[in-house]
Amino acid sequence: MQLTSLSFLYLFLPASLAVYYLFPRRMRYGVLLGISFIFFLLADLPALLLLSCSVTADYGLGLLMERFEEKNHLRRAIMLLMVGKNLCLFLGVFCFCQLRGVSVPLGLSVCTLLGIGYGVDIYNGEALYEHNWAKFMLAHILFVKLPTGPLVRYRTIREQFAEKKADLAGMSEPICLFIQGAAKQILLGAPMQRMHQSLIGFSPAEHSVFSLWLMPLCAAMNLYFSLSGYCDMARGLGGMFGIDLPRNFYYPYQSRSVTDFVGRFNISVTTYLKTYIYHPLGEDSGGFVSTALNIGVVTLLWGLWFGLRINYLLWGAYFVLLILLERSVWGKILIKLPTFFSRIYTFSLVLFSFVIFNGRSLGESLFFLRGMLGLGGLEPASPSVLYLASQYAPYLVLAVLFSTSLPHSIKNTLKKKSQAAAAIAGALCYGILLALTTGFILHP
Amino acid sequence: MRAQKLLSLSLLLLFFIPGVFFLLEGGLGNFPLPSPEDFWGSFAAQEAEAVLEESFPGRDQLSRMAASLQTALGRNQQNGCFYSADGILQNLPDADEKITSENLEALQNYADSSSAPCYFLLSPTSAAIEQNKIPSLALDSLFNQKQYIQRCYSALSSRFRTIDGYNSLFSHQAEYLYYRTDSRLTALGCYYLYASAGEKLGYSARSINDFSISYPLHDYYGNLLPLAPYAQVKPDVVSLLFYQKRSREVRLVQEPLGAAAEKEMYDLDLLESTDPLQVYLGPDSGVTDLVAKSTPQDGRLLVFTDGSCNALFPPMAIHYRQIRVVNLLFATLSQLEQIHPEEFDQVLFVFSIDSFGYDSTISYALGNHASLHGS
Repeated sequence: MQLTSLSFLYLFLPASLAVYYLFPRRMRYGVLLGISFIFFLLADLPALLLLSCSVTADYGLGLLMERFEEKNHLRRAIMLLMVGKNLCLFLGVFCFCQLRGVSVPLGLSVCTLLGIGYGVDIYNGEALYEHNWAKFMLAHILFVKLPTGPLVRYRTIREQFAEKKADLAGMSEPICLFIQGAAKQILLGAPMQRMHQSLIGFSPAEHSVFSLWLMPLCAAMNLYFSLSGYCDMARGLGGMFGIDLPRNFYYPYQSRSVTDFVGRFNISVTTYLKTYIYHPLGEDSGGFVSTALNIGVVTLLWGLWFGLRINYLLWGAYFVLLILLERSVWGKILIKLPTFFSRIYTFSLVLFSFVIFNGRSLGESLFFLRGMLGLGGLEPASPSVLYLASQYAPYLVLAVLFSTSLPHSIKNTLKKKSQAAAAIAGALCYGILLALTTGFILHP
Repeated sequence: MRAQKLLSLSLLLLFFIPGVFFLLEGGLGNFPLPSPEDFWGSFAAQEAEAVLEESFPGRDQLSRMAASLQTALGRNQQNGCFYSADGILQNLPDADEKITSENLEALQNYADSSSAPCYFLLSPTSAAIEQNKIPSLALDSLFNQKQYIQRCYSALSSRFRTIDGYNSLFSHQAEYLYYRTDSRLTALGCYYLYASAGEKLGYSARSINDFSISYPLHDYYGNLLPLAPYAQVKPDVVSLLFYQKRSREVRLVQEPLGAAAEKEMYDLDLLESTDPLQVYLGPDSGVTDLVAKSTPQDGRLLVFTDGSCNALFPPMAIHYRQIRVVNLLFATLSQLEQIHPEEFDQVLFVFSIDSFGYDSTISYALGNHASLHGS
């Protein structure tokens, strides 16, 4: 079951909300666990069995660590065991799936990385030992964040089980966020994905300079709208069930530097890597070499988040290089540049990064890059790409527009003028958006 | 606060209402009972999704709204079909080389073992003939059907006489040659093939003015519409040609090899069936005979085809005593066994590119026919 399926939107979600709010507050986390189990069961039963066992093992190891409170070397061994177990599970299953060409089990990365974080946190005394298996399980398999996150620290999510604060007035924002996420995914992410797939499917003879420029732009828009769409849906759903989840994207394509971009794109992954890798490594407290190494490790892993492929590693390496250059060479100049120019600078470099991201090998990326720069002897624009562009041009324009904060600013301005008018306009707009999204699901 | 509550309530209702309508209309009863394997393979949710999609409240209106918006935003292609107000045209991918060579080999083997002269007509689809209806930028990526036909024709030996249907159709491209919503040729399209085939088959094709034309069906929606269900296309008109110059009565014999049933040339009741184009040659039964009564002609023609040009045979029937049409996509082994090539004076192979280039049934059935007759 997908979050953007009709059965989820119009059967599972309303039924879950109805059941959840029918029960008294103290029982709601139990109900939410039941709902999450059913979602998991319908979406990916093998993954449910695998991850339930893994999470239960983490729960047990956590209790064992508590028992040896006084014996630090044993606690350390248990923590390493938890980290090792989850890392092996994550990498093992990930590599297996990649080699076999099958999809990764639902929630694998979210559950295993949360498990690693929990192990490290309780060892460092930054989180309390969990004594309630149901709450521990719920923090891991909460259905709203299973598909693509966001990645949250254990204690952040655990703290929210105590206070179920959702009320009718507070529901409007999460519902709007959820609809917005679904619309992002279906109305803009899916067309961008189709366009990108068509461009990727071009043979070298079919490519032109225009198609090679269009390809990274589509990849950038596809990735942003698909991931941020799912994340908005997760945050909206969380809000409906009284759980606040953090933002994962903050208008990354209007960043003012590459360093800024990395901080705004897939924020929860960046935060996780900083918390569990960058900080323990000493951040930037050492010399230049040590700082460069620390940034390098974190950014490379940030790139590898998208899959175990040489191009994703290179994608990360490209950002490492740019971040280091910004820190040591032109960072100060960038700050002084007018916003417009610094944004153009960042977006151009990010666009080039997607040339690496797009390629299935280094050779292919180099072919794309040469072609983009007009060095491959390609024609400026072939009829095939012009036809494709004519089919998707309005979506592309809308995607670029909605990847900026402009629509949000307009919404806020309207809200300030009149709350009631904004509420009516909001209901109308989001109603239309939901109808359109449903129409596009039925007629993709 | 009140405004926020109102907004929440109205948005929540949007999620609840379709589900409630679905349940009230008994939608839950349509869900298949999932088996443990369904859960293990995550098929249970997929099956439920398919059922919900099928009977979603307001499905047609929502889909039409999405389709209109997509068209307004410039989209004119769906499921491999181009669509415009003028019709839906199926865009063929490049033909399967292996299947093509197997089909050609089967044809050649048949011709080599046959004493009767063989003829081959490979008919293009609308995407090749009605290129003026396709967005000009998309033309470059079209499968070159003209080249494909030439390649197939030149691969056959001189035992075959090939019929140039492509140029004959292309020179009349502005006329109603293909249905707007169906991949098959109209009666007029088939008439032009009949005319160009005459030169090779040795008959003098009658002028279109020698036929009276009736239009018994004005609201036909064909097999391409489900591929672009919300394209705003006008319905098609089904027409029938009647030769009227001399009183030549042609009768249709269905299942001539079994419980033969002789009928009128066109069974108008079939216009009410799920496939009204069956009116040209009756329901798909594998083998059908067209028998001319009180005719001076005594030629017998055996046709192997795929059902794409069935309207071709009624006008052709006036030049023969008997035409036996074998649809290789439906003919059974026992039917093939009962067809004796030596009983016929000429053998004609008529296929559309969209089956000849992609469907191995043709070579399979011809191979079976050859082996059943020991060649």
